Amino acid sequence: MQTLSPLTRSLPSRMSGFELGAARERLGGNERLLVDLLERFVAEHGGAAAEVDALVAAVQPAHAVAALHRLKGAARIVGADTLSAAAQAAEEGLLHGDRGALAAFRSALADTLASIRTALCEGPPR
Amino acid sequence: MNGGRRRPLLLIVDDEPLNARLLSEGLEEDFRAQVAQNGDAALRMAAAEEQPDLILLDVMMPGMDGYEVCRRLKVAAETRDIPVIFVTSMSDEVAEMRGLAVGAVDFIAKPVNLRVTRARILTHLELKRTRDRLAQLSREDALTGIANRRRFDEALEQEWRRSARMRSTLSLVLADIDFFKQFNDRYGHHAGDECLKHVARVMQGAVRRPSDLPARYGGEEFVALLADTTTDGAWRVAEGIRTGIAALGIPHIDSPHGIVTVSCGVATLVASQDDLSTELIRAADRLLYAAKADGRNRVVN
Repeated sequence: MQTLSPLTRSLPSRMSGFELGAARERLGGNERLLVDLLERFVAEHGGAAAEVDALVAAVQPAHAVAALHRLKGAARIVGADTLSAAAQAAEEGLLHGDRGALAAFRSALADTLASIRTALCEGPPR
Repeated sequence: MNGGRRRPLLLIVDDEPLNARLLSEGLEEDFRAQVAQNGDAALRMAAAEEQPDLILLDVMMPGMDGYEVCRRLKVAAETRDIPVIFVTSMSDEVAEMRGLAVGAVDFIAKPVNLRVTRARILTHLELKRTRDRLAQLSREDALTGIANRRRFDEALEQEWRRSARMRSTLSLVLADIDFFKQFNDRYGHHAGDECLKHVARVMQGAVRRPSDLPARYGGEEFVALLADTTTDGAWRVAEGIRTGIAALGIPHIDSPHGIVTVSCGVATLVASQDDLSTELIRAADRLLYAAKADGRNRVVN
């Protein structure tokens, strides 16, 4: 497994939709690791909305629920609490055959990804 | 923690790459890490040549779940002693009880806090070290460092059953230091202890195969348990012990030989399911008695 790249930018102190303080606390203040995890979150889960939509369209609700469950866990790791809550609501909805919360999930995911991209690109130079 | 010693190896089992990355990178200062993304890979890596010192195991995984991985780890002799900590977002007590029931030592809730995780891992590694050390001490003779009577009794039971099953020969060398009471009286108990250590070292040097077990049987009596060994082979081992100890040339003016010597009884049997394993000891003891009666410093089979 490759090691962390040197930290060239620092994250802003706040990010919309994130509880960065709690995430930093859990990571023991390892900012480089937080940046790395955010980058990986985008790479791993950036396409989650399309994935969930496809699974719902293919009438594979169990797989869609599993995908949402994974996303919820990943979002919590990086402190994306708004997205994590939206994924949980969508997961619980789908378990009862209700797709109503999917739209809110999609928009939370889009906001979160935008927030991360902004933070990673526009964070103050180190 | 790192001082000279290799960092302990963790096996992180998680199908979510972010979790695996978080744990492996976040704990990197104190631990080396391997990552398995599913249960099958985890079982394979746990039994690999360099085994992990501790396993961090996710519960919810596609295919084989964490409970099943843990259950299988605890069934296999080569992996059962590796401590397993479940890392899970399922925070209910039923899940926790189930994890503990299949053999986990602890639970860590997701999203993990690295400092808490590190502290718990260190605690469980320390417990494991203490447990290993105690297990070793309970099977080793404190003075000479070779196997003690308890370990010998266990091995004898095991080899006896194997001999009965396989119809293979099982040999036992029973060696007793000649005139040891007089040696202690003359030279003192410290010299007596040193003498016992020398004899133990010769016993260790005289056996060849990994399955051979030299042990201190009690007092000045030593044994060598030799699986799959014929009368001739056992005789050679016993002669090696006898001549090895004579060659040490430890002065013993109260012995007619002038030096420390041993007498050996060597018994060889194919175990029978109807007999007890003590049959082998009894046979070796009778032959040892004959060796003593015959003038000592000799092997009788």
